[in-house]
Amino acid sequence: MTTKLLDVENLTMKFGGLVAIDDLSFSAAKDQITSIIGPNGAGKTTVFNCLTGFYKATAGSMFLNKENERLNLKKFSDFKVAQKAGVARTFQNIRLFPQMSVLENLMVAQHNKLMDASGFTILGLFNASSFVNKEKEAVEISKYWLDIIGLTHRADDDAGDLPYGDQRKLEIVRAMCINPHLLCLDEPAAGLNAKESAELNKLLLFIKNEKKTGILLIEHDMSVVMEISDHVVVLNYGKKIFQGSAKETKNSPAVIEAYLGTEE
Amino acid sequence: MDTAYFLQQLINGVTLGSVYGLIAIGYTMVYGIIGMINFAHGDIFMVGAFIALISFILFALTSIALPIVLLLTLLIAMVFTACYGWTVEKLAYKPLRKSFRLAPLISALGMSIVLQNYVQAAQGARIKTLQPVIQGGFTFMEDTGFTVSLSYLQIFIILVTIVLMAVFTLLITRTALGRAQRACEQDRTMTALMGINVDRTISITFIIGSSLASVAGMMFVMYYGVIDFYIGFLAGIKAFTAAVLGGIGSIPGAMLGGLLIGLIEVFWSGYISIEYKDIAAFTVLVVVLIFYPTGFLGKPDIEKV
Repeated sequence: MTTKLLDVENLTMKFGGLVAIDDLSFSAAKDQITSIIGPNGAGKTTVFNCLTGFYKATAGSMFLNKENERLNLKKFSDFKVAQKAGVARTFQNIRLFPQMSVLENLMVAQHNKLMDASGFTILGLFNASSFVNKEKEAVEISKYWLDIIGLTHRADDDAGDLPYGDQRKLEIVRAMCINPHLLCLDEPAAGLNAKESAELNKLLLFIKNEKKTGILLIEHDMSVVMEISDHVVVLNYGKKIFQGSAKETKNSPAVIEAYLGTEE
Repeated sequence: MDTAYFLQQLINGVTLGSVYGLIAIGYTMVYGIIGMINFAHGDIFMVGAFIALISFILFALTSIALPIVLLLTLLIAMVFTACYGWTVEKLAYKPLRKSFRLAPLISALGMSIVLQNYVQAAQGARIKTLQPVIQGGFTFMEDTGFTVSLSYLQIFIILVTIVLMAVFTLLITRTALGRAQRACEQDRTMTALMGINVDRTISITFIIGSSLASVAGMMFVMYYGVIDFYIGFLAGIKAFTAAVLGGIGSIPGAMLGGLLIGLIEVFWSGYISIEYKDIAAFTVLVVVLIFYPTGFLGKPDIEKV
Protein backbone atom coordinates (compact mmCIF):
# COMPACT_ATOMS: atom_id res chain seq x y z
CA MET A 1 0.00 0.00 0.00
CA THR A 2 1.17 3.47 -0.73
CA THR A 3 1.13 5.71 2.27
CA LYS A 4 1.43 9.43 1.89
CA LEU A 5 4.63 10.65 3.51
CA LEU A 6 4.56 14.29 2.57
CA ASP A 7 1.50 16.46 2.07
CA VAL A 8 2.01 19.88 0.61
CA GLU A 9 -1.20 21.87 0.61
CA ASN A 10 -1.76 25.22 -1.07
CA LEU A 11 1.86 26.23 -0.62
CA THR A 12 2.53 29.83 -1.66
CA MET A 13 5.79 31.70 -1.47
CA LYS A 14 6.02 35.37 -2.38
CA PHE A 15 9.11 37.54 -2.51
CA GLY A 16 7.65 41.03 -2.49
CA GLY A 17 5.54 41.13 -5.63
CA LEU A 18 7.09 38.02 -7.16
CA VAL A 19 5.10 34.86 -6.69
CA ALA A 20 7.66 32.07 -6.73
CA ILE A 21 5.25 29.31 -5.77
CA ASP A 22 1.57 29.74 -6.42
CA ASP A 23 -0.93 27.60 -4.54
CA LEU A 24 0.97 24.35 -4.99
CA SER A 25 -0.45 21.10 -3.67
CA PHE A 26 1.08 17.68 -4.10
CA SER A 27 2.02 14.70 -2.04
CA ALA A 28 4.87 12.24 -1.97
CA ALA A 29 4.69 8.64 -0.89
CA LYS A 30 6.93 6.77 1.45
CA ASP A 31 8.17 4.15 -0.98
CA GLN A 32 8.14 6.20 -4.13
CA ILE A 33 10.36 8.60 -5.98
CA THR A 34 8.52 11.83 -6.64
CA SER A 35 10.16 14.10 -9.19
CA ILE A 36 9.60 17.81 -9.45
CA ILE A 37 10.44 19.05 -12.91
CA GLY A 38 9.92 22.26 -14.80
CA PRO A 39 11.80 24.86 -16.83
CA ASN A 40 14.42 27.05 -15.16
CA GLY A 41 12.94 29.47 -12.66
CA ALA A 42 9.79 27.40 -12.21
CA GLY A 43 10.21 27.45 -8.43
CA LYS A 44 11.47 23.93 -7.86
CA THR A 45 14.32 24.81 -5.53
CA THR A 46 12.05 27.26 -3.72
CA VAL A 47 9.83 24.31 -2.82
CA PHE A 48 12.85 22.62 -1.26
CA ASN A 49 13.81 25.79 0.56
CA CYS A 50 10.33 25.98 2.06
CA LEU A 51 10.39 22.31 3.03
CA THR A 52 13.75 22.57 4.76
CA GLY A 53 13.04 25.77 6.64
CA PHE A 54 15.26 28.10 4.61
CA TYR A 55 12.22 30.15 3.62
CA LYS A 56 9.10 30.77 5.63
CA ALA A 57 6.23 29.97 3.31
CA THR A 58 3.81 32.87 2.79
CA ALA A 59 0.80 30.59 2.96
CA GLY A 60 -0.16 26.96 2.86
CA SER A 61 0.99 23.99 4.84
CA MET A 62 3.43 21.11 4.65
CA PHE A 63 2.98 17.97 6.69
CA LEU A 64 5.25 15.00 7.16
CA ASN A 65 3.45 11.82 8.18
CA LYS A 66 5.48 9.51 10.33
CA GLU A 67 4.22 6.20 11.79
CA ASN A 68 2.12 7.82 14.44
CA GLU A 69 2.57 11.53 14.17
CA ARG A 70 1.92 14.27 11.68
CA LEU A 71 4.59 16.96 11.75
CA ASN A 72 3.98 20.45 10.54
CA LEU A 73 7.19 21.18 8.65
CA LYS A 74 6.60 24.92 8.95
CA LYS A 75 7.57 24.67 12.59
CA PHE A 76 11.02 23.33 11.88
CA SER A 77 13.98 25.40 10.89
CA ASP A 78 17.75 25.22 10.97
CA PHE A 79 19.20 22.02 12.45
CA LYS A 80 15.81 20.76 13.64
CA VAL A 81 14.75 19.97 10.08
CA ALA A 82 17.19 17.10 10.02
CA GLN A 83 17.33 16.31 13.73
CA LYS A 84 13.65 16.41 14.68
CA ALA A 85 11.71 16.17 11.43
CA GLY A 86 14.03 13.79 9.60
CA VAL A 87 14.23 15.67 6.32
CA ALA A 88 17.59 15.60 4.54
CA ARG A 89 18.53 17.57 1.45
CA THR A 90 21.33 18.18 -0.99
CA PHE A 91 22.03 21.24 -3.09
CA GLN A 92 22.51 21.84 -6.79
CA ASN A 93 26.20 22.40 -6.19
CA ILE A 94 28.17 19.84 -4.23
CA ARG A 95 28.48 20.75 -0.59
CA LEU A 96 30.56 18.09 1.04
CA PHE A 97 33.04 19.00 3.74
CA PRO A 98 35.95 18.96 1.27
CA GLN A 99 38.75 19.01 3.83
CA MET A 100 37.39 16.18 5.90
CA SER A 101 37.88 12.55 4.97
CA VAL A 102 35.18 10.62 3.15
CA LEU A 103 34.51 8.61 6.29
CA GLU A 104 34.30 11.70 8.46
CA ASN A 105 31.75 13.25 6.15
CA LEU A 106 29.49 10.32 6.92
CA MET A 107 30.32 10.47 10.62
CA VAL A 108 29.31 14.12 10.87
CA ALA A 109 25.88 13.13 9.65
CA GLN A 110 25.59 10.78 12.61
CA HIS A 111 26.61 13.49 15.07
CA ASN A 112 23.52 13.61 17.27
CA LYS A 113 23.50 10.03 18.44
CA LEU A 114 27.29 10.16 18.98
CA MET A 115 26.96 13.37 20.96
CA ASP A 116 24.37 11.73 23.22
CA ALA A 117 26.60 8.71 23.71
CA SER A 118 29.63 10.85 24.46
CA GLY A 119 27.89 12.38 27.49
CA PHE A 120 28.41 15.81 26.08
CA THR A 121 31.99 15.07 25.02
CA ILE A 122 33.33 14.38 28.52
CA LEU A 123 32.97 10.61 28.23
CA GLY A 124 34.33 10.79 24.72
CA LEU A 125 37.56 12.30 25.98
CA PHE A 126 38.05 9.47 28.42
CA ASN A 127 37.21 6.87 25.79
CA ALA A 128 34.25 5.55 27.75
CA SER A 129 33.01 2.27 26.36
CA SER A 130 29.52 3.60 25.59
CA PHE A 131 31.00 6.22 23.31
CA VAL A 132 33.55 3.90 21.75
CA ASN A 133 30.82 1.40 20.92
CA LYS A 134 28.54 4.00 19.39
CA GLU A 135 31.49 5.35 17.41
CA LYS A 136 32.23 1.85 16.11
CA GLU A 137 28.60 1.40 15.19
CA ALA A 138 28.65 4.70 13.29
CA VAL A 139 31.79 3.61 11.45
CA GLU A 140 30.04 0.35 10.50
CA ILE A 141 27.07 2.25 9.11
CA SER A 142 29.42 4.50 7.17
CA LYS A 143 31.27 1.49 5.77
CA TYR A 144 27.99 -0.09 4.76
CA TRP A 145 27.12 2.96 2.68
CA LEU A 146 30.63 3.31 1.28
CA ASP A 147 30.41 -0.31 0.14
CA ILE A 148 27.21 0.44 -1.69
CA ILE A 149 28.69 3.33 -3.62
CA GLY A 150 32.02 1.51 -4.03
CA LEU A 151 34.16 4.07 -2.22
CA THR A 152 35.42 1.96 0.67
CA HIS A 153 38.98 2.10 -0.60
CA ARG A 154 38.92 5.90 -0.49
CA ALA A 155 37.48 6.24 3.02
CA ASP A 156 40.49 8.10 4.38
CA ASP A 157 40.98 10.48 1.46
CA ASP A 158 39.74 14.04 1.63
CA ALA A 159 36.24 14.25 0.20
CA GLY A 160 37.31 17.20 -1.97
CA ASP A 161 39.79 14.97 -3.80
CA LEU A 162 37.16 12.55 -5.12
CA PRO A 163 36.03 12.66 -8.74
CA TYR A 164 32.87 14.66 -9.34
CA GLY A 165 30.56 11.69 -9.80
CA ASP A 166 31.77 10.06 -6.61
CA GLN A 167 31.26 13.29 -4.70
CA ARG A 168 27.64 13.34 -5.85
CA LYS A 169 27.07 9.81 -4.63
CA LEU A 170 28.87 10.50 -1.36
CA GLU A 171 26.63 13.49 -0.78
CA ILE A 172 23.53 11.35 -1.19
CA VAL A 173 24.70 8.64 1.18
CA ARG A 174 25.78 11.28 3.64
CA ALA A 175 22.22 12.53 3.65
CA MET A 176 21.09 8.93 4.19
CA CYS A 177 23.35 8.65 7.25
CA ILE A 178 21.04 11.12 9.00
CA ASN A 179 18.49 8.33 8.75
CA PRO A 180 15.89 10.59 7.16
CA HIS A 181 12.23 9.92 6.41
CA LEU A 182 12.34 12.15 3.40
CA LEU A 183 15.32 12.73 1.15
CA CYS A 184 15.22 15.89 -0.99
CA LEU A 185 17.72 15.82 -3.86
CA ASP A 186 18.29 18.95 -5.87
CA GLU A 187 19.59 18.01 -9.33
CA PRO A 188 21.78 15.08 -8.28
CA ALA A 189 22.49 14.14 -11.89
CA ALA A 190 23.75 17.57 -12.94
CA GLY A 191 27.14 17.22 -14.55
CA LEU A 192 27.18 13.42 -14.54
CA ASN A 193 28.01 11.39 -17.61
CA ALA A 194 25.74 8.62 -18.87
CA LYS A 195 27.49 5.89 -16.90
CA GLU A 196 27.43 7.92 -13.73
CA SER A 197 23.75 8.78 -14.02
CA ALA A 198 22.99 5.11 -14.52
CA GLU A 199 24.79 4.41 -11.26
CA LEU A 200 22.87 7.22 -9.63
CA ASN A 201 19.60 5.64 -10.75
CA LYS A 202 20.67 2.37 -9.19
CA LEU A 203 21.54 4.07 -5.92
CA LEU A 204 18.25 5.95 -5.74
CA LEU A 205 16.24 2.82 -6.51
CA PHE A 206 18.16 1.00 -3.80
CA ILE A 207 17.30 3.73 -1.28
CA LYS A 208 13.67 3.61 -2.30
CA ASN A 209 13.31 -0.17 -2.27
CA GLU A 210 15.60 -1.24 0.54
CA LYS A 211 15.48 1.71 2.89
CA LYS A 212 11.86 2.69 2.27
CA THR A 213 12.85 6.32 2.31
CA GLY A 214 10.70 8.74 0.38
CA ILE A 215 12.65 10.62 -2.26
CA LEU A 216 11.78 14.03 -3.63
CA LEU A 217 13.82 14.71 -6.72
CA ILE A 218 14.43 17.89 -8.68
CA GLU A 219 16.04 16.99 -11.96
CA HIS A 220 16.59 18.20 -15.48
CA ASP A 221 18.15 14.99 -16.72
CA MET A 222 15.14 13.25 -18.24
CA SER A 223 16.95 9.93 -18.50
CA VAL A 224 16.95 9.91 -14.73
CA VAL A 225 13.47 11.32 -14.23
CA MET A 226 11.68 9.08 -16.71
CA GLU A 227 13.46 5.94 -15.69
CA ILE A 228 13.05 5.99 -11.93
CA SER A 229 10.21 8.32 -10.93
CA ASP A 230 6.96 6.83 -9.78
CA HIS A 231 5.28 10.18 -9.78
CA VAL A 232 6.09 13.44 -11.54
CA VAL A 233 4.97 16.94 -10.59
CA VAL A 234 5.53 19.58 -13.27
CA LEU A 235 5.90 23.22 -12.31
CA ASN A 236 5.89 26.28 -14.51
CA TYR A 237 6.07 29.82 -13.13
CA GLY A 238 5.39 28.49 -9.64
CA LYS A 239 2.18 26.72 -10.66
CA LYS A 240 1.61 23.03 -10.92
CA ILE A 241 0.69 22.36 -14.51
CA PHE A 242 0.63 18.59 -14.43
CA GLN A 243 1.10 15.57 -12.26
CA GLY A 244 1.08 11.90 -13.04
CA SER A 245 3.28 8.97 -13.90
CA ALA A 246 6.44 9.42 -15.94
CA LYS A 247 4.78 8.07 -19.05
CA GLU A 248 1.75 10.31 -18.76
CA THR A 249 4.00 13.30 -18.23
CA LYS A 250 5.96 12.60 -21.37
CA ASN A 251 2.82 12.75 -23.47
CA SER A 252 1.08 15.62 -21.74
CA PRO A 253 0.42 18.59 -24.09
CA ALA A 254 0.67 21.05 -21.18
CA VAL A 255 4.13 19.83 -20.28
CA ILE A 256 5.33 19.86 -23.88
CA GLU A 257 4.06 23.39 -24.23
CA ALA A 258 5.85 24.55 -21.09
CA TYR A 259 9.13 23.14 -22.26
CA LEU A 260 8.97 23.76 -26.00
CA GLY A 261 6.38 26.50 -26.45
CA THR A 262 3.33 26.33 -28.71
CA GLU A 263 3.23 26.18 -32.47
CA GLU A 264 2.12 29.40 -34.07
CA MET B 1 78.61 31.09 30.53
CA ASP B 2 77.20 31.54 27.06
CA THR B 3 75.48 28.17 27.05
CA ALA B 4 74.07 28.78 30.50
CA TYR B 5 72.72 32.17 29.51
CA PHE B 6 71.20 30.72 26.37
CA LEU B 7 69.58 27.91 28.33
CA GLN B 8 68.08 30.37 30.77
CA GLN B 9 66.56 32.39 27.97
CA LEU B 10 65.22 29.22 26.43
CA ILE B 11 63.48 28.25 29.67
CA ASN B 12 61.99 31.72 30.07
CA GLY B 13 60.94 31.82 26.44
CA VAL B 14 59.15 28.49 26.55
CA THR B 15 57.30 29.60 29.68
CA LEU B 16 56.16 32.85 28.13
CA GLY B 17 55.37 31.04 24.89
CA SER B 18 53.08 28.66 26.78
CA VAL B 19 51.02 31.59 28.01
CA TYR B 20 50.80 33.11 24.53
CA GLY B 21 49.98 29.74 23.01
CA LEU B 22 47.04 29.20 25.36
CA ILE B 23 45.57 32.59 24.45
CA ALA B 24 46.29 32.11 20.75
CA ILE B 25 44.22 28.92 20.64
CA GLY B 26 41.14 30.98 21.52
CA TYR B 27 41.78 33.36 18.62
CA THR B 28 42.44 30.61 16.17
CA MET B 29 39.44 28.45 17.11
CA VAL B 30 36.99 31.33 16.88
CA TYR B 31 38.50 32.46 13.58
CA GLY B 32 38.31 28.92 12.30
CA ILE B 33 34.67 28.44 13.10
CA ILE B 34 33.09 31.82 12.31
CA GLY B 35 35.85 33.62 10.44
CA MET B 36 36.00 36.48 12.87
CA ILE B 37 38.80 37.93 15.00
CA ASN B 38 37.55 38.07 18.56
CA PHE B 39 39.20 41.29 19.68
CA ALA B 40 37.72 40.89 23.16
CA HIS B 41 39.69 37.69 23.68
CA GLY B 42 42.67 39.47 25.24
CA ASP B 43 40.32 41.00 27.76
CA ILE B 44 38.78 37.64 28.49
CA PHE B 45 42.34 36.60 29.36
CA MET B 46 42.57 39.63 31.67
CA VAL B 47 39.28 38.71 33.35
CA GLY B 48 40.65 35.20 33.84
CA ALA B 49 43.76 36.62 35.48
CA PHE B 50 41.62 38.68 37.86
CA ILE B 51 39.41 35.75 38.76
CA ALA B 52 42.50 33.66 39.47
CA LEU B 53 43.95 36.47 41.59
CA ILE B 54 40.78 36.83 43.64
CA SER B 55 40.59 33.09 44.06
CA PHE B 56 44.23 32.89 45.24
CA ILE B 57 43.68 35.69 47.75
CA LEU B 58 40.57 34.02 49.12
CA PHE B 59 42.30 30.65 49.40
CA ALA B 60 45.22 32.32 51.18
CA LEU B 61 42.83 32.98 54.06
CA THR B 62 42.17 29.27 54.42
CA SER B 63 44.63 26.52 55.20
CA ILE B 64 44.01 24.33 52.18
CA ALA B 65 47.07 22.53 50.81
CA LEU B 66 48.79 24.15 47.82
CA PRO B 67 48.09 21.50 45.17
CA ILE B 68 44.38 21.64 45.96
CA VAL B 69 44.43 25.44 45.89
CA LEU B 70 46.05 25.33 42.46
CA LEU B 71 43.54 22.83 41.14
CA LEU B 72 40.56 24.69 42.56
CA THR B 73 41.79 28.04 41.27
CA LEU B 74 42.30 26.51 37.86
CA LEU B 75 38.75 25.19 37.85
CA ILE B 76 37.22 28.38 39.23
CA ALA B 77 39.06 30.54 36.73
CA MET B 78 38.07 28.27 33.84
CA VAL B 79 34.40 28.07 34.79
CA PHE B 80 33.86 31.75 35.55
CA THR B 81 35.83 32.98 32.56
CA ALA B 82 33.98 30.56 30.33
CA CYS B 83 30.77 32.23 31.52
CA TYR B 84 32.19 35.59 30.48
CA GLY B 85 33.21 34.26 27.10
CA TRP B 86 29.83 32.63 26.57
CA THR B 87 27.99 35.83 27.56
CA VAL B 88 30.10 37.98 25.27
CA GLU B 89 29.32 35.66 22.38
CA LYS B 90 25.58 35.67 23.11
CA LEU B 91 25.38 39.44 23.57
CA ALA B 92 27.79 40.81 21.02
CA TYR B 93 28.31 38.26 18.25
CA LYS B 94 25.33 35.94 17.93
CA PRO B 95 22.80 38.66 17.05
CA LEU B 96 25.17 39.81 14.30
CA ARG B 97 25.89 36.41 12.80
CA LYS B 98 23.81 37.00 9.69
CA SER B 99 25.03 40.57 9.35
CA PHE B 100 27.95 41.77 7.24
CA ARG B 101 31.42 40.57 8.15
CA LEU B 102 32.69 43.72 9.82
CA ALA B 103 29.77 44.08 12.24
CA PRO B 104 30.87 41.48 14.82
CA LEU B 105 34.42 42.77 14.51
CA ILE B 106 33.29 46.19 15.64
CA SER B 107 31.13 44.83 18.43
CA ALA B 108 34.19 42.82 19.52
CA LEU B 109 36.17 46.03 19.86
CA GLY B 110 33.25 47.43 21.87
CA MET B 111 33.16 44.35 24.09
CA SER B 112 36.89 44.73 24.68
CA ILE B 113 36.39 48.28 25.97
CA VAL B 114 33.39 47.22 28.03
CA LEU B 115 35.35 44.46 29.75
CA GLN B 116 38.33 46.71 30.48
CA ASN B 117 36.17 49.42 31.98
CA TYR B 118 34.06 46.94 33.87
CA VAL B 119 37.14 45.47 35.55
CA GLN B 120 38.56 48.93 36.12
CA ALA B 121 35.35 50.03 37.82
CA ALA B 122 34.92 46.83 39.79
CA GLN B 123 38.53 46.25 40.83
CA GLY B 124 40.09 49.71 40.68
CA ALA B 125 42.64 51.01 38.26
CA ARG B 126 45.69 50.38 40.40
CA ILE B 127 48.11 47.51 39.87
CA LYS B 128 47.21 44.38 41.81
CA THR B 129 49.93 42.19 43.25
CA LEU B 130 50.05 38.57 44.25
CA GLN B 131 52.59 36.99 46.58
CA PRO B 132 54.46 34.14 44.89
CA VAL B 133 52.28 31.06 45.13
CA ILE B 134 54.87 28.49 44.11
CA GLN B 135 58.41 29.14 45.27
CA GLY B 136 61.74 27.45 44.78
CA GLY B 137 63.15 25.50 41.90
CA PHE B 138 66.20 23.83 40.49
CA THR B 139 69.47 25.53 39.77
CA PHE B 140 72.22 24.09 37.65
CA MET B 141 75.41 24.93 35.77
CA GLU B 142 76.50 27.03 38.73
CA ASP B 143 80.23 26.55 37.97
CA THR B 144 80.03 28.43 34.66
CA GLY B 145 79.53 31.76 36.36
CA PHE B 146 75.89 32.09 35.37
CA THR B 147 73.38 30.10 37.33
CA VAL B 148 70.55 28.67 35.31
CA SER B 149 67.36 28.39 37.30
CA LEU B 150 64.26 26.46 36.47
CA SER B 151 61.59 27.31 38.99
CA TYR B 152 58.84 24.95 40.04
CA LEU B 153 56.44 27.59 38.79
CA GLN B 154 57.91 27.40 35.29
CA ILE B 155 57.67 23.62 35.36
CA PHE B 156 54.05 23.94 36.50
CA ILE B 157 53.20 26.38 33.71
CA ILE B 158 54.81 24.28 31.00
CA LEU B 159 53.27 21.04 32.25
CA VAL B 160 49.75 22.44 32.57
CA THR B 161 50.03 23.92 29.09
CA ILE B 162 51.17 20.63 27.58
CA VAL B 163 48.38 18.70 29.32
CA LEU B 164 45.68 21.16 28.30
CA MET B 165 46.86 21.33 24.72
CA ALA B 166 46.93 17.54 24.55
CA VAL B 167 43.40 17.31 25.93
CA PHE B 168 42.02 19.86 23.50
CA THR B 169 43.83 18.33 20.55
CA LEU B 170 42.17 15.03 21.43
CA LEU B 171 38.86 16.79 21.74
CA ILE B 172 39.12 18.31 18.28
CA THR B 173 40.40 15.22 16.52
CA ARG B 174 38.66 12.39 18.33
CA THR B 175 35.25 13.41 19.61
CA ALA B 176 31.95 14.06 17.89
CA LEU B 177 32.05 17.64 19.11
CA GLY B 178 35.41 18.25 17.47
CA ARG B 179 34.11 16.77 14.26
CA ALA B 180 31.11 19.08 14.38
CA GLN B 181 33.42 22.04 14.94
CA ARG B 182 35.52 21.13 11.94
CA ALA B 183 32.36 20.69 9.88
CA CYS B 184 31.13 24.16 10.95
CA GLU B 185 34.44 25.60 9.82
CA GLN B 186 33.84 24.33 6.31
CA ASP B 187 30.13 24.81 5.75
CA ARG B 188 27.77 26.01 8.44
CA THR B 189 24.59 25.65 6.39
CA MET B 190 25.38 22.09 5.49
CA THR B 191 26.35 21.30 9.08
CA ALA B 192 22.94 22.48 10.23
CA LEU B 193 21.34 20.27 7.59
CA MET B 194 23.15 17.32 9.15
CA GLY B 195 21.04 18.01 12.25
CA ILE B 196 23.86 19.65 14.17
CA ASN B 197 23.08 22.63 16.38
CA VAL B 198 25.51 25.11 14.88
CA ASP B 199 24.82 27.89 17.38
CA ARG B 200 25.58 25.59 20.25
CA THR B 201 28.75 24.35 18.60
CA ILE B 202 29.91 27.96 18.19
CA SER B 203 29.08 28.74 21.83
CA ILE B 204 31.10 25.75 22.97
CA THR B 205 34.02 27.00 20.90
CA PHE B 206 33.88 30.31 22.75
CA ILE B 207 33.66 28.48 26.06
CA ILE B 208 36.73 26.37 25.26
CA GLY B 209 38.71 29.38 24.04
CA SER B 210 37.80 31.43 27.09
CA SER B 211 38.67 28.74 29.58
CA LEU B 212 42.07 28.25 27.95
CA ALA B 213 42.62 32.02 28.09
CA SER B 214 41.73 31.99 31.78
CA VAL B 215 44.40 29.37 32.39
CA ALA B 216 46.83 31.67 30.61
CA GLY B 217 45.60 34.48 32.88
CA MET B 218 46.21 32.38 35.95
CA MET B 219 49.73 31.54 34.76
CA PHE B 220 50.36 35.20 34.02
CA VAL B 221 49.36 36.41 37.47
CA MET B 222 51.41 33.65 39.12
CA TYR B 223 54.45 34.31 36.94
CA TYR B 224 54.60 38.09 37.03
CA GLY B 225 52.78 38.70 40.32
CA VAL B 226 51.31 41.99 39.05
CA ILE B 227 48.28 42.63 36.89
CA ASP B 228 46.02 45.51 36.03
CA PHE B 229 42.91 45.91 33.92
CA TYR B 230 44.99 46.75 30.83
CA ILE B 231 47.12 43.59 30.51
CA GLY B 232 44.69 42.07 28.05
CA PHE B 233 45.57 44.54 25.33
CA LEU B 234 49.22 43.75 24.76
CA ALA B 235 48.96 40.07 25.64
CA GLY B 236 45.96 39.82 23.32
CA ILE B 237 47.82 41.42 20.43
CA LYS B 238 50.85 39.21 21.01
CA ALA B 239 48.70 36.10 21.10
CA PHE B 240 46.89 37.23 17.98
CA THR B 241 50.28 37.70 16.33
CA ALA B 242 51.14 34.18 17.47
CA ALA B 243 47.95 32.81 15.93
CA VAL B 244 48.65 34.56 12.62
CA LEU B 245 52.29 33.49 12.64
CA GLY B 246 51.35 29.85 13.13
CA GLY B 247 48.55 30.09 10.59
CA ILE B 248 45.20 31.34 11.81
CA GLY B 249 42.58 28.62 11.98
CA SER B 250 45.14 25.95 12.80
CA ILE B 251 45.38 24.82 16.42
CA PRO B 252 48.87 23.31 16.22
CA GLY B 253 49.78 26.54 14.44
CA ALA B 254 48.59 28.60 17.40
CA MET B 255 50.70 26.51 19.77
CA LEU B 256 53.75 26.82 17.54
CA GLY B 257 53.17 30.53 17.01
CA GLY B 258 52.82 31.15 20.74
CA LEU B 259 56.05 29.34 21.42
CA LEU B 260 57.86 31.27 18.69
CA ILE B 261 56.61 34.67 19.85
CA GLY B 262 57.60 33.83 23.44
CA LEU B 263 61.08 32.75 22.36
CA ILE B 264 61.60 35.70 20.04
CA GLU B 265 60.60 38.14 22.72
CA VAL B 266 62.78 36.62 25.39
CA PHE B 267 65.84 36.13 23.18
CA TRP B 268 65.55 39.65 21.83
CA SER B 269 65.38 41.02 25.37
CA GLY B 270 68.24 38.82 26.47
CA TYR B 271 70.64 39.47 23.63
CA ILE B 272 69.73 42.74 21.96
CA SER B 273 67.60 45.21 23.81
CA ILE B 274 64.77 44.83 26.25
CA GLU B 275 63.10 48.07 25.15
CA TYR B 276 62.39 46.84 21.66
CA LYS B 277 61.09 43.38 22.53
CA ASP B 278 57.54 44.12 21.37
CA ILE B 279 58.75 45.46 18.06
CA ALA B 280 60.82 42.30 17.57
CA ALA B 281 57.79 40.04 17.74
CA PHE B 282 55.80 42.11 15.27
CA THR B 283 58.72 42.53 12.88
CA VAL B 284 59.17 38.78 12.71
CA LEU B 285 55.48 38.52 11.92
CA VAL B 286 55.84 40.91 8.99
CA VAL B 287 58.85 39.06 7.63
CA VAL B 288 57.23 35.64 8.00
CA LEU B 289 54.00 36.75 6.34
CA ILE B 290 55.95 37.92 3.30
CA PHE B 291 57.24 34.41 2.74
CA TYR B 292 54.37 32.40 4.27
CA PRO B 293 51.23 34.50 3.72
CA THR B 294 49.06 31.97 5.55
CA GLY B 295 51.48 31.46 8.45
CA PHE B 296 53.56 28.38 9.09
CA LEU B 297 50.80 25.80 9.41
CA GLY B 298 47.85 27.61 7.87
CA LYS B 299 46.00 26.12 4.96
CA PRO B 300 46.18 28.23 1.85
CA ASP B 301 42.81 29.39 0.59
CA ILE B 302 42.44 27.61 -2.69
CA GLU B 303 39.84 29.13 -4.94
CA LYS B 304 38.56 26.79 -7.53
CA VAL B 305 37.85 28.35 -10.85
